[in-house]
Amino acid sequence: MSENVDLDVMIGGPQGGGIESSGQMALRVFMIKGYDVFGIREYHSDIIGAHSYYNVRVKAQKPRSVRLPVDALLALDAETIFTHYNDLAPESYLIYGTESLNTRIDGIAPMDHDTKERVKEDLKQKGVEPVASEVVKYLASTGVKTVGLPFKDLLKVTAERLKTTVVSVSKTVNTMSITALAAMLGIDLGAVEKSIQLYFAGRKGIVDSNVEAARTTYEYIKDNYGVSKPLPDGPHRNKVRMIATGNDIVAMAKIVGGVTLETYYPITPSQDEAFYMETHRVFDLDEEASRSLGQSKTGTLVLQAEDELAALNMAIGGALAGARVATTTSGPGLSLMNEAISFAVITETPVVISVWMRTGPSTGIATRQGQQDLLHAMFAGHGEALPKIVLASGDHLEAYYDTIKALNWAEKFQVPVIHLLDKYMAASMMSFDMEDVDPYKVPLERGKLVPNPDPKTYKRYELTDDGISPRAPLGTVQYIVSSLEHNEYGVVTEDPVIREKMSLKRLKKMETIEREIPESEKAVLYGDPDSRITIVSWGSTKGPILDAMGSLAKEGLRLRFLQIKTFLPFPTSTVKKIIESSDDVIAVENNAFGQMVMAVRMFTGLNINKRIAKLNSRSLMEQEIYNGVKKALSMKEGLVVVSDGA
Amino acid sequence: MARNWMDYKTDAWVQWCPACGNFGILTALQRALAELDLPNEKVSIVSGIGCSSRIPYYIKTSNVHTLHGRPIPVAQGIKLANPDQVVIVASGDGDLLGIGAGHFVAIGRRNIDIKVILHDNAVYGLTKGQAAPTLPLWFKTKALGQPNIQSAVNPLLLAFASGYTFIARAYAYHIDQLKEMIEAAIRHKGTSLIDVLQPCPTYNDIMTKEWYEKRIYYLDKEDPSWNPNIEKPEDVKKIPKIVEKMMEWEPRIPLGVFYRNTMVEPLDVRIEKIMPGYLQNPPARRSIDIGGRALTNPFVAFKDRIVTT
Amino acid sequence: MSQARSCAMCARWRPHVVYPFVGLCTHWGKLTMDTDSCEHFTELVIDNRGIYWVPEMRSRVTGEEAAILVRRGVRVYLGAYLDPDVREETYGAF
Ligand SMILES: Cc1ncc(C[n+]2csc(CCOP(=O)(O)OP(=O)(O)O)c2C)c(N)n1
Ligand code: SF4
Ligand SMILES: [Mg+2]
Repeated sequence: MSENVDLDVMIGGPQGGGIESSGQMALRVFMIKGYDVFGIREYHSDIIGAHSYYNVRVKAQKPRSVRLPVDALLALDAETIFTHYNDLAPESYLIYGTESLNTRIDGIAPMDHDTKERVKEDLKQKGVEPVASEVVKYLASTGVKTVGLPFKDLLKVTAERLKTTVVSVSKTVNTMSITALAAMLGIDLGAVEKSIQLYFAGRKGIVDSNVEAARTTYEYIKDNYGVSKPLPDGPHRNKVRMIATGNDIVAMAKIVGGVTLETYYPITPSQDEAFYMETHRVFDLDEEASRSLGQSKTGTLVLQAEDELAALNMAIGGALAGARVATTTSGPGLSLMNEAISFAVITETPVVISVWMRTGPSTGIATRQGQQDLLHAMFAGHGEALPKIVLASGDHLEAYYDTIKALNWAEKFQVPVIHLLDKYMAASMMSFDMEDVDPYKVPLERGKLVPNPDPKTYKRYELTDDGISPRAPLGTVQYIVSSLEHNEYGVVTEDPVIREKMSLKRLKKMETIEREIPESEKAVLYGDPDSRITIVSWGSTKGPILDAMGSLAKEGLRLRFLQIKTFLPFPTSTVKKIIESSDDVIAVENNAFGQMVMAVRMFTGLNINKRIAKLNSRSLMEQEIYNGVKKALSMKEGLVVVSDGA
Repeated sequence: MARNWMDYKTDAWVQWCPACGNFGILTALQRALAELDLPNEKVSIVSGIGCSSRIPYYIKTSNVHTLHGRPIPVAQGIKLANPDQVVIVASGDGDLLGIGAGHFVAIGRRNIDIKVILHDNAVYGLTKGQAAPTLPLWFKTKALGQPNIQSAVNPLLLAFASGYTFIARAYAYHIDQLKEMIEAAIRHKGTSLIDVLQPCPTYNDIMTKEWYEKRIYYLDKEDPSWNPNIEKPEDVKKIPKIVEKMMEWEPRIPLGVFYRNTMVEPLDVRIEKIMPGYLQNPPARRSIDIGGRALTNPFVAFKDRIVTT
Repeated sequence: MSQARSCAMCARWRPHVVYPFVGLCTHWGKLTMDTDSCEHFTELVIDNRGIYWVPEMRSRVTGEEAAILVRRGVRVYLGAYLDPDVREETYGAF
């Protein structure tokens, strides 16, 4: 029964050494088998050689997180074995290349010194010598099925069958590993072959050699390890589906959502979003749009700026001219954008800033997870840079719709919108269907954009009941825009009466925002609405929390989970109501100081006295919430630090 | 219906000190716009923060007064979104060469069709006369607490090294010549710099009107054969001479157009190559929806992420 | 084919960074296996001022260090071979 399938697979190896293609291929194999997948990559901030790994979760219906221990570990090098030998479930599979067996831990130069010492100490206690072969033996003794792949021999056989040289098939090693994994998990060769066709689409020679490599490996596994119990087909066979990272899906949403100019300065983990947009700068229109515009393609301009100061200021310039604009960055870039955020506020310029958070402070750990820019975003910009909107998405599909909403809100309310995302989402990928990313669900709205203003009466900053003024693009009518306080025409003034009116205009606009964004967009309640145990969290912790709640519910512990989605405007009444009707409230965040808890206190006056925090910069996993909640419930108050991940 | 320079005047009170060189720049700019007969709303003058950066209030066009150091990025955003707009940056030496120097360089790499007018008074006027990046080494104006121990940057050479394709130097009180240079810059399609030597009688008591007028001369007056145009490959032979003239400062300061290169593609042409249709439907004007309905579907536009199971 | 004169031992060979059993022969300008060989085999002579690639350590060392490693039986090379497709496999760092 496919409903019972819940697999966790890990693939580890040196950065630049095939992890990415192996991970991508593995995800496709499971999708072709009919399953939903969720994968996340953990990578080091060097370019080539250091350890990186992929976690993949496989379920019949939308997995939202990954879990330890895993059911199978594919180790593309010895460092993977040394780093993850404690992460294997009993009866799981370890698949490795026999070439790595002789490696001693001290010989692995890229491995972090502190990690090495910790592993050596642990192995010493287990009585295991720090050589890969000994660790493999030890794992076998604990019930792990160990599968050694003699890559060179397999390559030779493959080459002979294709009547070619070993060298010319040498790049099929990744496919061999994935095939071995598939074979051990009971997946048929057909699914592997189909994923090869898909992954290397259009490159015939490469497809052929990889297919042959897969066949060779499949036979080798069958001959040496027998045939595994077949994995049943999942519910999603014979469909046209998609798999995308968070970076991809936000890029898609920006293009679908009508961004015509995106500026950026490269920074991890945001750059792949801009990169994806650059690749798709010219895109196909759907049938209806082609017909009504009389063209089949259109374009989105993406420009790499010289720094984040330029990126945001250019975007603002584009918006002043009437374009729908966005930019993308991470914490350090948001720091540089602060002054321009304030500029966007006073000039009432719509701009969406996607902020992919990572580990700080400062350069921190550039490629790892963190949720440390919440207060930074809320308080970004000097001199009371309000109104603005701060919105945080919980997962890929939310990020898709939120991006479109953010673009609408920016133009409707003429404010900067900071859209908080993070490395967890940037580097994770999930499978989904056409109806999950419905481009027509959120209609595009441009608010009070007036393309043809009347020059005689036009006032850019006209005082209105809702605080929002008609916005004419520069070039359509003569007026001035200023970073200085200005009157209704945009002309600079220090007049106390007008200054006060403009302050009140901005305040009124925030009230409009609070009123017009429905409460359901500000916070969402999941789980048992009547439970008196509540988790409060925000952002990408959503997936692990929901998955852990499922496991806890099976044990009879029914929780509810309040996800805060907008911090400006803040869902004050909802948060108050939920906290006041709970016996236990547990906050979950990837930061040390409890930034969301501070925000809750600021807006509601209520405290949350139990916190779960993950601070080791790795991705939050289901079991950490599962264990963390139990621990938090056993305490009166305090901080539970969860620390899984290598 | 030709426009008169008065058509570009606003009724704002001009907040500069009496005899400030900025008045000359303002007048020349208004006259150049009139001469070119540009519709008021089709011109954007973008400034940063400084005395000079108040110029957007005094010219009746679609202007933006931005942040200290950021007029160049904002101007580029406007131009990228709407390539038909005439975009002029007018800002101080501190703004463009100090806090905003990175943008001053980066814009040259793009050869985007923007004119940069550098109000070069060698001081930070608005913050009371500190040394600007163009103040020569050891100069000690009255306003300075100590002599200037930092050397001056050469804006012309910096622009040349950065890829600007039109480089000129003018003098704020020579309104007619400055006006002509502005017109020439606007006619040139590419990133342009006019370094305007601008006396600041209030804070720069060294580089005064008299100081400048003893030193300045016009390249084409001195040498009637002077031709700054690079129009064909063999014209690069002129470059050593051009650079030599850019480096000349004491005892004589040359003015005029130093360099005009028409062989470098401007940014809009480059964009059109990688994104056909850009010029016809630029970001500010292309439709993004049909009555609120998005123009595409991820499964139509992003086929590289499709998995057929 | 004698092991001692195989590509893996040749001064002209650059092992693949991740799979050291494949490598680039700088003489022929193409990939070969570590066990291949040809008549252009050249003995590697360590130069103290050189820089060497040590696949086992996945790092570079100076000639002085390389000489010590070679005495210990560790293979060193004049360089490593980086797959031209490696870009598809790497992620942004900072
Ligand atoms: C981020 C920032 N830092 C400092 C200032 C203060 N400030 C305003 S104008 C200025 C210098 C202006 O000099 P310049 O650009 O040469 O213009 P001028 O007044 O000489 O025309 C400074 C430092 C500011 N506005 N913003
Ligand atoms: S301080 Fe100098 S630059 Fe500023 S207005 Fe006065 S004279 Fe002009
Ligand atoms: Mg100045």
